[in-house]
Formats: sequence, structure tokens, C-alpha cells
Amino acid sequence: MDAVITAFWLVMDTQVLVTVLLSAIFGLFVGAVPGLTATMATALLVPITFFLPPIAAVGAMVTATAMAIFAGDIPGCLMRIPGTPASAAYVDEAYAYTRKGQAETALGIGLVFSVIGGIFGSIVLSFGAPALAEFALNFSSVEYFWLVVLGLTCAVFISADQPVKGVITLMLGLLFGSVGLENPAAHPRFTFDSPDLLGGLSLIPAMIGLFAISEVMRYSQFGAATMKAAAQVGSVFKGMGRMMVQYWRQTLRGSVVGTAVGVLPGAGADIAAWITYAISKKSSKTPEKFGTGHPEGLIESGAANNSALSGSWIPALVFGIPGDSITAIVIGVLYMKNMNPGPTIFVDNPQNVYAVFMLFFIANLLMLPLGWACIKASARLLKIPREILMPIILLFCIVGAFAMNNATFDLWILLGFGVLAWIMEANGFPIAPMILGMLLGPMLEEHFVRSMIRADGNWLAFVNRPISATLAALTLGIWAASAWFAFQRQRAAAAGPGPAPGAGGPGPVG
Amino acid sequence: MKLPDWLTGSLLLALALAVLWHVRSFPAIPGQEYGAAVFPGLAASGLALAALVLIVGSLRRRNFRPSARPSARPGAGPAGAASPPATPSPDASSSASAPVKPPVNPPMGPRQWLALGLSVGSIVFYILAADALGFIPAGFLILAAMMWAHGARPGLIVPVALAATLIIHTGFYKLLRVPLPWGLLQPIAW
Repeated sequence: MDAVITAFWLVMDTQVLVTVLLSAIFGLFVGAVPGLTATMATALLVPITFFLPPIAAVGAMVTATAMAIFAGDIPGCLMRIPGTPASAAYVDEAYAYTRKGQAETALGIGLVFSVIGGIFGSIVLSFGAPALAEFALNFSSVEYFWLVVLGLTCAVFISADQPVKGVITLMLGLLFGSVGLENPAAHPRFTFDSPDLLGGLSLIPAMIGLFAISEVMRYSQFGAATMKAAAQVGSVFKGMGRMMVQYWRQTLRGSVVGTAVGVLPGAGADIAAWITYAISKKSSKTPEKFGTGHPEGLIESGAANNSALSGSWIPALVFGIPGDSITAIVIGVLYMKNMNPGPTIFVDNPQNVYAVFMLFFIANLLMLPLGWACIKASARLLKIPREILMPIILLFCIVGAFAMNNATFDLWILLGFGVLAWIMEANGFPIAPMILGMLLGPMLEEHFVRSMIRADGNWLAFVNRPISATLAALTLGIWAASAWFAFQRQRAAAAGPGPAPGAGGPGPVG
Repeated sequence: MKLPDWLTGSLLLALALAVLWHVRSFPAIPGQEYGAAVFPGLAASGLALAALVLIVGSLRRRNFRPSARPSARPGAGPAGAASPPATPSPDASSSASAPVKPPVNPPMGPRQWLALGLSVGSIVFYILAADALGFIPAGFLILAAMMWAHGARPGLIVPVALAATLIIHTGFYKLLRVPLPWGLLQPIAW
């Protein structure tokens, strides 16, 4: 209980509260401007958090991402352009409301049910994470090894249309992660005799490159869709109470599924929204109304993407394994702030953990008034000229990447990963597995080598404890299942006019 | 920049083999089996395997097309029998022509190439010139060039670029104490 009170005063610090407020505005802005994502918001915040005390730094990231995921609904509703990928699943539904002249209803649903989903996820986080941490205290390096493998497996098979491309980016990430001296043998690997590479590839510049520079490049390449949002927005909260009662089932299901998807490594808010929208349609009594401005799907997936955000912090805090690309960045920051994630943080620094939970509640409650103000200001916000904004973001990225280590070399990393992500995106390679590989590679290697040394080279040591055997079976099960699905798909494609010849199925055959 | 999968796969395979060859030179730890080479070796093997799968899949799809097309023409009977003659077109058109749904990426004109080149070039320019020019001149030039290339209103470019550079400089140099270079402006550094 003492820890909770300490945590309360940690959070009620003026600097923390001001940071939270400012990052809320920042998050709303980033979310509402199409082309800027919640992940990018986090990446852009990192150089600033570097100079903040730990709790304020975490508060900034929690608040900014929660706000950004909600605010992504605004351009999606008014202009049919999702502000962040997490809103993409239901843009058509939300836009249908705008066409009917009821934009305020869709925006209200987005806001109210984002808050509900976010709070639900925060509750699960607050109670689930400590319980899980207590359990995880018994884990040895073998269990950690399997957890990391399981996490990386999920990342590959959930986020990619073509799992093989996910495997490739994951392996590349693991290789990037093994650059430098940080390995059991302390041998300088892949450094090409450059002293700059001895410490490894700096993660933060790499992440800013992967998530922000690539976005600027894509904007340069394709430009922005013309912005037209002349919708008059009426009373946002009208009718929301009735919807909460009428659609409690959808709200609950969306929140539960969203949180669960968030917990799975590699899958975040965007995938949660897609899955729950599909579930909602499938189990609806009136599926024919979907896409015509119907609340069910909006409620369910709107709650889901915000609850996923909280859910993804559970594995991040308990195991140091990110639930999505946002928490991948967050974990990097936690290490910088000496708040190393893992079960021991719950024992050694419980006040910090409780402070994180409180920040989640504050962020989600703050969303109600600030989100409302953002909706009211949306017409003006959406007119922000991106031909001015994007260059400023580029310069900001340069300074941010430099500020981490004050090293010009990091700017090459920024550029290299930016171009790499741009090429990968154009060719259908997912980015999240790469960043997870870079982050978790060193951890994976350490646990692997430590387990092997302890077991004296006996591979059976990886499966002869109940928890490790379960984790191993789960991991191998996912591999086997996806191999089987891939095989089935190929067979269907080879059989000729199959019902679903896959993405690459040759047209004339069908 | 869309590359065919067999080409990306081949490049990745080459990279994986190069890594596998390179890690053989890593020294072993005496008395221990698992040295520096094991982990990157495993990752590179995985990469090589996945790259092979990608190449094979891509080539098989490529071979399908030319062989399937001529045989599909005379064999239109069974294909047509499966679905009424009016409907085969939507399936074929959806894969042949561009998808109808959201606004597809427009083709790139010289303007886009210029903008894209500038986004990459700006970073290179900053790396090479920032120390000599200083952050403020270099940042201003980058912003002005980028805004111009992306079609900002000419009257806005200079004031906005200047203001943004100064704000970023103040934020990072004064508040966050990042040692941004002064360069040319060293004599009047504030």
C-alpha cells in the first residue's frame, strides 16, 4: 500500500502532469493528421523523454499513444482517410455516418468507446501484470528463451500476409541486433573495424528511421490525398448513454479481444481493430447494416484498439517482451531510464509500476475532455499544410537521432533504416518483426547461451521443466499450424480454380 | 520501389551466405561450444532458408502465368461452366487491372522524384555539412528546400523555415542541452 501512495505522489508531480498534458495534445495532433502514426509519435517523443525523469517519460508515451489511437478516428470519419493504421478497419463505417450527416455520432462513438476500451485494458494491466510477474519470478533462462521465441513467432505469423516475409525481416533484425561487442564472447561482430559499431547499432536512431523517415519518404513519393473536411460537427455525446446500454455486449467483447490481441507480441491496435470488426460483423444479428453507418462494429473495434494499447504493456513490463512496435520503443526507453522491465521491477520498484498504471487511467480519462476539444477543432486541424509539416518532422528526426548519443554516425543509421523501411514497405515486408528482432536478439542469445552452458550442451534442458515444455509446445504448435495453412493454400492454388487462390493466385485460372 | 520477390530473395540469400561465411572466422571460446558465431550463424541460416522459400514461391508463380494463359483460353469451357459467363470478368479484372478500392498510389512524376531525392539527400547533406555550416544554416536550407519541393506557398517558405529551425534549435540546444554545431555562426553564438 505504501508503494501505491508513493506512486500517487510520483504521478501528482507538476512536471509529470504538465508533460502528460502536452503529450496528450501532441498525440491528438499526430493521430489526427493522416500519415503520422501512433508509433511515429512514440519514436518522435523518444529524444525528448531522454531528458525527462522516468515517470514523466513513461507518462508522455502512454498519453501520446492513447490519444493518437483515438484521434486517428477523426480524419477517418470526416474524410475516409484513417489518421493511424489502427482506424483503418472501420473508416468506411465511420465515413458512412458523415455522408448521412451524422458525423458527430461516429466521432462520439469513437471517443466514448475508446475511453471505455482504454480503461478496461488499464484495469486488466493493473491486475494482470503483477499476478503474472509473481508467476514469472520462477522463470529461468530456459523459460525466457521460449518466451522470446514465442513472442517472435507471434510477431511473424500474426502481422504478415506472407509469413515468409515476416521471417525474413525477423532474421534481418536478429542479425542487426548481433552487431557489436555485446555478446557472450565479447567478440566484435560485423563491425568492419569501425569503432562506431562496437557498441552495436543504436536502437533509437534505427527506430526513428524505420517509423518516421520512411513515412516522410512515402509522403514525398506519393503526396497527400487532398484534404476536404467541411463537415459540421454537432453534439458529440448525444445518445452515447443509450448506446452503452444497448451495445454493452459489443463493448465488452471488443475490450476483451482487444486486450488479448495487445498482449500477443507483434500484434497491436491495428490488428485488434481488424479482428474485432470482423467478429462484430459475423456475430451481429444485422450484418447487412455494416458499412452503412451502423454503430455495432464501430463500438467494438473502437474499444478494441485502445484496449490493445494497454494490453501490449503487460508482456512489455513483465517480461521485457514488447506487445507491439510502440512498446518495442517504450522498452528501449525504460532501459535508458533504469526501469529495466522484468518481473523483478514489480518487487524492487513497485511504486514505478503502480505509477505506470495510474498514468494509464489518467491518460484515458483525460481523453474525454481533450478528445472532445480535438473533435471540435478538427476542421481546422485537418487543414494543417503537410508540405510544411513533413519537412519539419524530417529535421526533427535528424536532431532527435543525433541527440541520443551526440554522434553523427547515428544519422547514417537513421538514414539507412529509413531507406530500408521504405523499400520493405513497398515490397510487402512487415517492419515490426525487424524491430522486435533487433531489440530481443541480444536477450535471446544471452538466454540461449546461458541455458546451454548450464545444461552442458544438453538440448533436452530446453523442454524438461513443465513451463518450458508448455511454452515450447505452444511455439512449435504455431509453427506447425502456419506451415500447414501455407501448405493447404498452396495445394488449393495448385489445384486450379480453387475457391481462394491466395493473393498471388494467377487470374486467368480462376 | 517494387522489386520482384525472386530478386529480393536472391539478394537476401547472398547476404545470408556472406554472413555464414564471415562468422566462420569468429574465434571460439576455449572449452565452450557456444561462441560468438552460433547465434548469427543460426539467424543467417534462417534467413537463407526463408529467402529460398521466397525465391521458389516467386518463380513458381511466374511460371504459372505464361503456361496457364494459353491453356486457359481453349479450356474456357470448364472455367465458364463453373460460373455464369457474365461473372468471370470481375474476378479477372480485379487481379488484372488496378484494384478499384482506395486511391491507389499515383505514378511518380519528376516532382515526386525530386521530393524523394531531397528527403534522402537532406540527411546526407546534414551529415556532411552540419559541422561546417552549423545547425541553423543547414537546418534552414533543408527545410526551405523540402518545403519548396513539396509545393509549399513560396511566400511562406522562408519565414516558416527560419522560425521552425530557430524553435527546434532553442528546444534542443537550450532546453535539452544537445550540443548542436554552430558552424558559421560560431562568432555570434548565443
